[in-house]
Amino acid sequence: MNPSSMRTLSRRELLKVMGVTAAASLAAACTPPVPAPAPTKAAGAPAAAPAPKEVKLAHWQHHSVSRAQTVEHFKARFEDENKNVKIDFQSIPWAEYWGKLASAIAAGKGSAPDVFQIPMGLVEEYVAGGNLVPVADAVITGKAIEESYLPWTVQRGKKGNEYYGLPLDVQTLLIYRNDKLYQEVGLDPKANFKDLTDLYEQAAKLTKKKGGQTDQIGCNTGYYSAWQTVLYQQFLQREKNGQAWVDSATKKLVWPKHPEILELFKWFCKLSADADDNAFLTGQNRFALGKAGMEIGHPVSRGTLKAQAPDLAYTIVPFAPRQAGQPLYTAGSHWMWVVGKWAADFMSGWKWVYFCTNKPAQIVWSDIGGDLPSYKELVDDPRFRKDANANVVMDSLKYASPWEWVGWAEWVKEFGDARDRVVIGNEAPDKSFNTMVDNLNKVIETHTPKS
Amino acid sequence: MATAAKAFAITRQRWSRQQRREALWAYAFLSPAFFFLLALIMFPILFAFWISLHDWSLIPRHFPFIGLQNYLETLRDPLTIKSLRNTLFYTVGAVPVSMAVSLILALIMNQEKLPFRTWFRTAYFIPVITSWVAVSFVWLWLFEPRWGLVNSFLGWFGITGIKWLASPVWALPAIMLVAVWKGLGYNMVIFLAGLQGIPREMHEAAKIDGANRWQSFWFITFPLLNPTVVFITVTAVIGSLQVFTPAVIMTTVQGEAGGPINSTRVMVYHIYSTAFRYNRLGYGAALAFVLFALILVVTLMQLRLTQREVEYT
Amino acid sequence: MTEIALQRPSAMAFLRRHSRAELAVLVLGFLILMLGAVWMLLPLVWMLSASLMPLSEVIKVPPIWFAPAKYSLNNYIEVWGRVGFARFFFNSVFVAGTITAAQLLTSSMAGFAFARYQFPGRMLIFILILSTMMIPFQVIMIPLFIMMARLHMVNTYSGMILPAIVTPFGIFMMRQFMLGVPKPLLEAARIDGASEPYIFTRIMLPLCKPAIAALAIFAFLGSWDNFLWPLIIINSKQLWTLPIAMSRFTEQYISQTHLQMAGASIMFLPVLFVFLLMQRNFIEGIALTGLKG
Repeated sequence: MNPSSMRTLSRRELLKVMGVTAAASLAAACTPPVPAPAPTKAAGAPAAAPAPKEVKLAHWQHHSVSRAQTVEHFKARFEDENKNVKIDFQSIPWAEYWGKLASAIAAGKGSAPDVFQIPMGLVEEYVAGGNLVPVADAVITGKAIEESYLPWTVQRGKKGNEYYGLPLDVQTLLIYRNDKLYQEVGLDPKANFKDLTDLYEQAAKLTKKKGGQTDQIGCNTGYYSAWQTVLYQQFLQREKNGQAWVDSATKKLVWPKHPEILELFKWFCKLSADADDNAFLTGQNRFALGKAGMEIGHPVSRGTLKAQAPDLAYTIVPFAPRQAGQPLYTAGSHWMWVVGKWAADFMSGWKWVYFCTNKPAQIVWSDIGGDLPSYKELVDDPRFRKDANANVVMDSLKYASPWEWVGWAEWVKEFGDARDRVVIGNEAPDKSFNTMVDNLNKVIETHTPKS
Repeated sequence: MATAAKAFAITRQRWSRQQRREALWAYAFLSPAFFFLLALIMFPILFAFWISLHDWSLIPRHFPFIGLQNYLETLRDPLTIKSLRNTLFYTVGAVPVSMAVSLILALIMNQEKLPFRTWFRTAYFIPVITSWVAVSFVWLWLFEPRWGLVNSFLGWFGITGIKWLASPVWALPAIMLVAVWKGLGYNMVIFLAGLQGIPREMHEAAKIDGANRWQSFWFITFPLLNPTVVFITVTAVIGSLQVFTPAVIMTTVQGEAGGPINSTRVMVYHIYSTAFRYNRLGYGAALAFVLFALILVVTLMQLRLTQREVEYT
Repeated sequence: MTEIALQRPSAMAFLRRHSRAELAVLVLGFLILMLGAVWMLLPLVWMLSASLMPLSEVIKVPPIWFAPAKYSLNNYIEVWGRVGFARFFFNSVFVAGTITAAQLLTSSMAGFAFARYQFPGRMLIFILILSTMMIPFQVIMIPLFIMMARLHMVNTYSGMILPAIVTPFGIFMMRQFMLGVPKPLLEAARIDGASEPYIFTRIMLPLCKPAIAALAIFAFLGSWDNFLWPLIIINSKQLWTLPIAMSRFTEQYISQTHLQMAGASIMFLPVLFVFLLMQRNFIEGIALTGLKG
């Protein structure tokens, strides 16, 4: 028994030592850390004119390397110009951003961030819940906001007469085309689409399917929610006088009233079935791998493609109009920086936000990360238009209108399910469309603030 | 032992000193674990149950009490029914296979005569510690309907046309295969630990008596392994009913997981999605408690059926 | 190496003892085992390969298993070079180490209580403890966070460590193993006048070495890779653990998979080390009288 008891002794001793170390460390760690996340206000010491109060702002956003870099740059300059403000900047991984934000807001003041970003579609709910404060007039007035920013980048942040957020991460929807694949089938990648039928035909030409096996897809339709959003909104905006797709009185979708929208849904399902294949390179980025003729995407995809497929030659063109000759359209999306009601100092919060979203700031965003501007004046500025693709992108800012989702993730799900039911489940498009409309109406109801 | 029995018989109405002493020591050993769990886990669980009785929308700050309405909704919600079915299918399929294969592996790895034994044990354990991102990428490729190795392998036997992760029928089995594959080493290690304790004398005595390998296993090893088997069965079922990562990482499209027509949507993903993507914490909590009830019932049944004291002769 | 050398003398005897058919089966079995082992290692091979290539090569299918021409150490330099990486490593080791030690301690003590004693509420308390395993963590995340915020433990080591100190899985495991220890052994010790702590530490624990080793592996693995709770509770970079640092590589529109794989390769090593260390307890085994099952 002797050897084993000696071994036991040493393990037991090890456990004891670790336990004691742990206990001691825990005791040490229990003392609050030096940089506390909660904003504090300590009165200034100097005897002369009362010094501005010390302010700590907690700023949260979801992580992106280039954006984190840009914000660090702004933070350094802002803290330089405003010596009494300290910014605690946290860049949180995208998938966990919601969990962390929800937990912090639930815990309330002291844990919740002062400045953070939310998708434009959620601003209304946040405001209704009394979570946000409007943009401070002293920093920038509502009128000035309307004059400076592209209307569609700020209108979803407006409630009543006040604006509650300033835009960042502005995106539109455009079609990316693989130059090489286009030239192989004798198509010109730089020629705009005539209409949706033209898009379909090009996609069909680019598809290589034989006997159940696919070698190349004509069009990656995987971004189901983008396709359907731009298709339906395009119709209502261009042909129905800018009709919103949620009726303001009934709070229900107006889609069933317009048979063309069902037709668009059927068109999309047909495109997805004929020019795309779920089972082809499942889970991979088909366009980056050079196996897809075209796909819908945001301007930010340029950065992604640069990293994933630096040698891929592609052209960006506007989305196809429903019928030939109609004016161009795209659906635009963005996030908003907002200030929480629990923030210690609203003025500093908004000063900081405006510092990061004003005109000079937007130039910095573009320089560091290739982000799009939202200032009217910058749309035609040559520094943003360095190549043909950039021209198309910048022009799209002029004819965009914002995505009209009420809520957020449910729409992704419903759009995807509706398409899947038809293409994979062989359900009748009418039935699937109606199910989608019913479900989305329920979602709108859930997310419409109850007064 | 006899003394205690007599003492018990005499003092049946009240606890003997012996029993009281035992109980106190038991509570002493139990307290640290129990009180930590009580404070840090059970209490939040109760709080979560409280939330499930409300329509808890964090952002609109809207918390009306609605009693059991959330629970009634779960019964009517087709997405919930689908998630439950997927999860049950997953559990019933994955657990027995995983246990059987890992037991076989453990038996093999327990043989002293196996050359390179340590290398094999390590190799079979490595999937457990390999990053899910790497596992997902390689398996997505293996399951690729046209070029992947799985379909090539099946092709030799004349089986073609299975679209695996793109098929509403085969996506879930594909996930199960990956999850079982990744967890083999885990259960293998536990079985190994269990096998280690079975004294060699038992097997030697059996061999002398003329038992072959199978009889030695079935009549000696397996019964003595009962506590380990019970442990693995119960924890594997509890774990499988709460499966999350395999189903999500391999079937996420546009941030939404669940495979073609929700065929790989599992309960815990459904709960997570409802609570954090759709922002319905009350309903999400109710879903969690429905799952909890299911797991509890299944576990109690299992414990009832399999628990027996091991007697040494 | 030593294993083979020692076996060679008996290899001849082995061959003589079995018929050709039996040998054929054994060889076939061994080959299958080998193929299986290769299959197990595939993702690891890709992971290491991907950690040495740029992103454009990493996303390619078929996966690139081995392409020395494309390899470079850039990813590792970028990952390791990030300010404070050594600090993250220390944090991970400290947190995982503490949690592992705590879990071993609490699990063996609680398992001992369940296996060894009869007491009122025995089954009920066990079920209660087991039931805490039946709720997914995301559900209790927010209530737990609110509690931690009230206790001022947000952004602290203790905030990260305390919720993980007890594991019902470990308690269950130790209970099962301890149940197999024959009662007479422990009774004998008690009759001899041994105190309960003595029986626990000097008799029960040594008999449970394989179980403790297995639990140590799982406890370490779980806490080393633990990501969600540390992310929720930690705000400052000084306290980041490795998984939090590695999460920098995933964004909304792109995953820096090449850097993720470099990070994963680094994080993989300590767990492998713990496994190799602990599984030595499985080779030795116990071959004496009166043992467990």
